[in-house]
Amino acid sequence: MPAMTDLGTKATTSTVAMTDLLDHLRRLTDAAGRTDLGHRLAQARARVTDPRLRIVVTGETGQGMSSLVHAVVGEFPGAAAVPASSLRPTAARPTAQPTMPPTMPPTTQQTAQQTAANVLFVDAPGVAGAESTGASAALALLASADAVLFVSDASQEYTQPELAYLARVRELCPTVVGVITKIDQYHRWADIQRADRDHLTRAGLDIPLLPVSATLHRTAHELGDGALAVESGVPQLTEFLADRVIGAADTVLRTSVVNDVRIVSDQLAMALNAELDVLNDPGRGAELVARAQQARRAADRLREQTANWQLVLGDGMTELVVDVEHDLRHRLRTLVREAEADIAGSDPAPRWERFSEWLDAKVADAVQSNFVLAHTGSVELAERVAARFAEESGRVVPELRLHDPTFALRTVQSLEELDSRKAGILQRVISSLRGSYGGVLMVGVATSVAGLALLNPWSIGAGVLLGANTFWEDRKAHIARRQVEAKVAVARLMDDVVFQVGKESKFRLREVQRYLRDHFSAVATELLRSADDAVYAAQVANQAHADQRDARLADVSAGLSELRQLRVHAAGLVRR
Amino acid sequence: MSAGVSPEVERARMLIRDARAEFADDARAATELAAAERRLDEPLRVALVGKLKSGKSTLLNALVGEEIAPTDATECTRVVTWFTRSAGPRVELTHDGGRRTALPVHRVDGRLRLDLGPVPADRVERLTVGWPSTLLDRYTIIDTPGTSSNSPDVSARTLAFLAPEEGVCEAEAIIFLMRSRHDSDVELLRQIQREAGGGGPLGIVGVLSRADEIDGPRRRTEELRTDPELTGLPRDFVAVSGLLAVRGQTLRQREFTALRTLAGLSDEVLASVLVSAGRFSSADVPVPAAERPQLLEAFGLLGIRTAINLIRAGAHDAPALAAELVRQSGLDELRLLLDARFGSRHGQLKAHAAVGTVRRVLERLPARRAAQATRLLRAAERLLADAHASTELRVLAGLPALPVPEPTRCALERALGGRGVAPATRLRLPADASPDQLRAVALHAIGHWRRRLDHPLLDPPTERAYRAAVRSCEAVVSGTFER
Repeated sequence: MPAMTDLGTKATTSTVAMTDLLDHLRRLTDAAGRTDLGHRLAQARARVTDPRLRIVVTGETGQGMSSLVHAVVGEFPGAAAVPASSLRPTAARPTAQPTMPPTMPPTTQQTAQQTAANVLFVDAPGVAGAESTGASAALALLASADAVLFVSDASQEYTQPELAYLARVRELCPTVVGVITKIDQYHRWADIQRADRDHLTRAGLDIPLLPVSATLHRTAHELGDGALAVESGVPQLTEFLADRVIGAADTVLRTSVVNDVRIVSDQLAMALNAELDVLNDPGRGAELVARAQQARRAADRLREQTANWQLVLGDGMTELVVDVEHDLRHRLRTLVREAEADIAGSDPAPRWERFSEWLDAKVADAVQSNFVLAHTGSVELAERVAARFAEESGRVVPELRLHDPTFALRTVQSLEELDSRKAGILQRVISSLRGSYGGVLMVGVATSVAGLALLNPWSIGAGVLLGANTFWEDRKAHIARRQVEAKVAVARLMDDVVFQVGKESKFRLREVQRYLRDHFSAVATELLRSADDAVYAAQVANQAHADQRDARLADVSAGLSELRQLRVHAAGLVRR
Repeated sequence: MSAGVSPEVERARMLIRDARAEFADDARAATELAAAERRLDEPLRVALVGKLKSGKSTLLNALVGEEIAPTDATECTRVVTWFTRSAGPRVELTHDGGRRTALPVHRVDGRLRLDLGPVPADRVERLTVGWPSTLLDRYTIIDTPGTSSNSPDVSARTLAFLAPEEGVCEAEAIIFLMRSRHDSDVELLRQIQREAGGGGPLGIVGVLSRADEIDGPRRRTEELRTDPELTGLPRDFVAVSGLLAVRGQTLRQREFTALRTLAGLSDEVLASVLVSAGRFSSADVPVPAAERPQLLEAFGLLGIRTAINLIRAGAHDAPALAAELVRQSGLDELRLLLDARFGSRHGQLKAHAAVGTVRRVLERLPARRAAQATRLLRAAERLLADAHASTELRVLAGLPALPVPEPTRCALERALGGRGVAPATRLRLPADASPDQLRAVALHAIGHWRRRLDHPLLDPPTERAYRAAVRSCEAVVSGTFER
């Protein structure tokens, strides 16, 4: 489609402009011998050339998700479809393998096309209710998604479960697009769209709705019919995605590039500015050198263990770990109470499988909510540390991107079978026989005193009575035992969950802490290095002869104006 | 079905009369018991239940053969609507604690319009549509608002109808509709089954609705038979397309002419015309432009395609196409199933509901009359527990999932009255079989099912099914003695 190629070229030109800018700046840092800043620029360049996006497609079963993915991928330059199974993080249980280290999207088996693609469409498993296994698997995928397509067909308006699921999705991923499929089959799709819009408004969800038909799109391609393609709504959807989702990601990317350019050029300019000041006003040389040295000492202090940002980080993380663990325990305790009430209601054995499924879904749900808490907490902490760091250094700090680690219940075992569930009627018959045997013997011996045989109507009657009694007692005891066993099994599962998930989440938070510390330490080192350079440049300029001064002055001014131009260029990238 | 009064109904009537005599002085109990007795002679009450947009109103129209329940692309049925037999068309609204208001009968283009007038939906207790129809002579059909609706009060009305806070569900049988198995469907089915224990609807027939819109409806119904989520719930679903059935029964010559014109077009032209609603409305075909929106509205693109295929396959005139549409819709299978499960069990279902009502009335009596009520209450409990009919229906509903070979399953279905409750049908004998012949075959059948019970590795559901079959055959034997 013409619109798409347009967008495609636009994207490439802006990429080229950004890489050019970064390469230019890289030459300057290399000339200044600043390999540390060069490294930062290399990272930025890698981000520009590989902007990978994950768009998760989800919805209830049978709404035409797969055909939609197929149609959209065909329309998108550089997009690929991935079945969720190849990266489903909650292949939930019950592999008893050691915890895997946290990875980014666990893309295990990807084809060459998928690796090359910069937009991945993930076809999540169909959902049949907000607590179904499909739902928890899909929700786990959503946390690391850049955007979500929520699919519902035009045969009917949103149902209450669909809307509940949608609200949940929105919590995990702010960019959600509602897609209404199969509009070729249902000529009243516009009414459905209107009804859906009303439901969304009433639920306070602000989500764009786009009607599409994968079938129309395919037919349009077969016939080469452009008008029909437009009627299918697929080009509009892809354009919307390119514009809003990919465009938004692009804006974020540009802003970060501009930020990097500004920080790096700032640091390069520090030495030049110090030199320029001394060259311009040789009389105050000594004073300016002293000021540069003072700045250096301030930068040095940032690297110390006792720097304020370090304290904020340490304290904040300790609090966060406690909060997250408390939250998990609280959620699971509520769940245990709910499960125990359920078990106490009736014999748990006949519905153990259903119960187990229900519990699994609930646990997955609790763990996910807990994970969302940990994630938002980490992001907040990072922002706090950055603010404190900026305050102390008096400089803009390179921004930090925390990647969502996809979280898994990989190592948690499933609910155990009930032992006594296997004990069947046979055991109960045996034990009631035992009871009746006792009855026959007791009464038989007593009546034999009266001259009757051991087996007489009285003793047999007693046997039957006692046998039946034992049978019923046994049945009651059996149910009680199962209930106890069920409670123990639930408690054990919860212990396992607390242990595994707690371990995993602590590990993950420590990882975040280490990452933040390394990040800000590196920035502090860069700052120190720049301050060092500034001191050195000021000292050299201070000792320079008057005849060298003019030539150096011209050089320094040229260097500074080059940097200034770069920054203007960079700022232009955002405004476009 | 109303050929003879069934013994169950008579027993229930005796119980009610007994209770009426005993508690004639309690005004409220007397009214309720009188109503319960009247209800015994009314047509069977069948409720259509399902999620929103599962096609309940369309199915009702298909069953009646006329468009008397309004349908729309978005949620449409908002109040519980009763469709009953009546000599002439009438619409009546019950609202605000029993007040009744007659509404005008307003038909547009053959479709009945139901407008509640100035009464808001939340004050309406019931909407009653009286209509002359052979189906409504036998069944009173209750159309309920869809569950899982985003307007919580709409779903709440259906839930209140199914499980009223006070009393038992007013329906005696349920047609449960779903488009695909969803958690919320399973939950609703479970709830209906819980109600059945206390005098609620005993009979449940499942419909996989809007079957023309799904790929391989037959395969889907097969899958539902073994779906583990439905364990212990009714799982024999009939695939029905309400839309095709309605169109078949209300087909007009004008529509047929337009469809035949379309069928005469070449494949290529037709494909390009039917690719989307927009193309169909604006395409250059010899069907008057004014008729196209009506055709589209009535049939939908899918329905138009189906009709064209049927015409091309040999439906040369309007009656032939009408018959083919109905045949394709699966309506006949549903009707057969309804007659086998509900029609022929009319008495048992009625009696179950009536006894449930009696029990409720007795339970609510003040404590000082408890002694008086105890005897009757016991009798009611006995009648409720004794319902072999309910065992038969429950086993029939779970039959598709039993691990038995197909011939055994068929034989079980017959024996349990799944194809009709007449003794001859159960035993696969001609209708005019002599009592001696019936007795001999029934005894033989008892022996047959008993021997199967001896198998040591029998699983509990199959065992229950065999036991029920033995009991049913025994009933045939004792029944023949009586005659």
